[in-house]
Amino acid sequence: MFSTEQVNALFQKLRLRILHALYQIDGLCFEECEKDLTEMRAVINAHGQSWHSEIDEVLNEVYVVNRFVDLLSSYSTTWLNISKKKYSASWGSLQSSMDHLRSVKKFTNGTSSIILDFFENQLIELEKLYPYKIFVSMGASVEWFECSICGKDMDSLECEHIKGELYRGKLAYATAKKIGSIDHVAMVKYPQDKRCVIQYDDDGPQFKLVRYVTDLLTTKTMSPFSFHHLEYSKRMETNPDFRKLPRNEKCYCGSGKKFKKCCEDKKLVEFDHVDIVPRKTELSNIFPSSAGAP
Amino acid sequence: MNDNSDKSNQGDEQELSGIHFLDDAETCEFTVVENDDEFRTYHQESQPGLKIIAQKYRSCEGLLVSPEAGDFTKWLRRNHPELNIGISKKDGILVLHSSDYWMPLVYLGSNIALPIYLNLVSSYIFARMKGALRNEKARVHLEAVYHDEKEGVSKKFHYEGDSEGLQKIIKKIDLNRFLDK
Repeated sequence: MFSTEQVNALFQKLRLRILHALYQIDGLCFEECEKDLTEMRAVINAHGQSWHSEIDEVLNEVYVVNRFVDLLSSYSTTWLNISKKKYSASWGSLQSSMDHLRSVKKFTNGTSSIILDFFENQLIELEKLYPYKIFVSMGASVEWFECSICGKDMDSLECEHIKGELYRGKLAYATAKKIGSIDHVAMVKYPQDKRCVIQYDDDGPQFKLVRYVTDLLTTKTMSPFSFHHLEYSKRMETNPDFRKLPRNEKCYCGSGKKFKKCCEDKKLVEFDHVDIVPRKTELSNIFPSSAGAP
Repeated sequence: MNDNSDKSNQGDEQELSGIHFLDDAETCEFTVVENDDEFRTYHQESQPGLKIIAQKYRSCEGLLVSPEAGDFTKWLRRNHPELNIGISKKDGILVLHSSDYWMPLVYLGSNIALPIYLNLVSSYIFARMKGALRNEKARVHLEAVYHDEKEGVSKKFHYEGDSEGLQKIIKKIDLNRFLDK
């Protein structure tokens, strides 16, 4: 996962702590997990400061280790929020987990990693539990963007930094300066930020699926790391609206037709059905305590 | 794909009481540019490269370049330093908070054929998608004005769709060019 000797050694040093944090999440001990992560951040920070004069590659990889710890933290918060029935908040922490995962993937150059694959598969499946399909996005004009590294106009020739790239362990990003007119608000399927949603109440019917996951967690039927995927199917169920009428009477559905020509055979109706499929996951398999790469 | 305003699909953006709904529809069209003085001037200078053009956008004031203009220009300068990249006078930058890639309108110079430009865009999108999760697809919006040698007219190519669709279009254009020869 890491190409520099220093950062590889640091990551090996953190391995047992990371594995411990994963066990804490799986056992729903989120506070203990956060303590582990705080300790890890202190270790990384200490190394990062002592390496301030190192080559760019080392500092950039320290950035990636930090994002990996952030990923674990957001992941832990996601499951904490789900277990506490804070579904709107869990959507935000799920999106943060996905953002950190993208960062780690991007800067490890797609290195194969069992734990990253696990997170990617699970987070994508988790996202499907939520009701959000349409997002809010706006259109506006901006005079210029300031580069976070050099402070110059990011789109000018004077600025040599590229947005989203790392420079001595710091991410280059652009800050909008002098926002002009806001032209519109659009509803989109693929927004820049999936946190821009129309909020629902945590006890609303929209969170039916993720609420079921809470039940599985609190009854110890399933643990966070054993949530695997969703399976969709159709099932025949009793039609709650069905009323048995004499065959020649007008149908109850309001179609104006006779019952025998309309809803007589609709005692059972087809419903969408989702199964939450668990799979036992050995944490030491997805994150060995002493392997070369996670 | 046909010339003269043949759209493969329309209605990508529906407007209802000031709210816009964007869908997944793919649009690919070639249109003859009637008022092409500006493009012809640029093209006749035989610039080896391309020029990014600022445009009026709906109710926004002044001329704006599309959201990807800055990043795309830097990417071209880093990866294709042989190209001369010009930018028309702009008053600002358009910001659209969708995850789509809104490429700028470009004028293609005499040495850049449309498929070459489309390949550049495709490579740029591939680079920008680094780190994307496996269920995430890139949706691209692009416009390019070029000189059609065969018909001797200026044409605008407009595309909206995913990056895989763009690849298919590049292959189709290449095949058409091959059959024309």
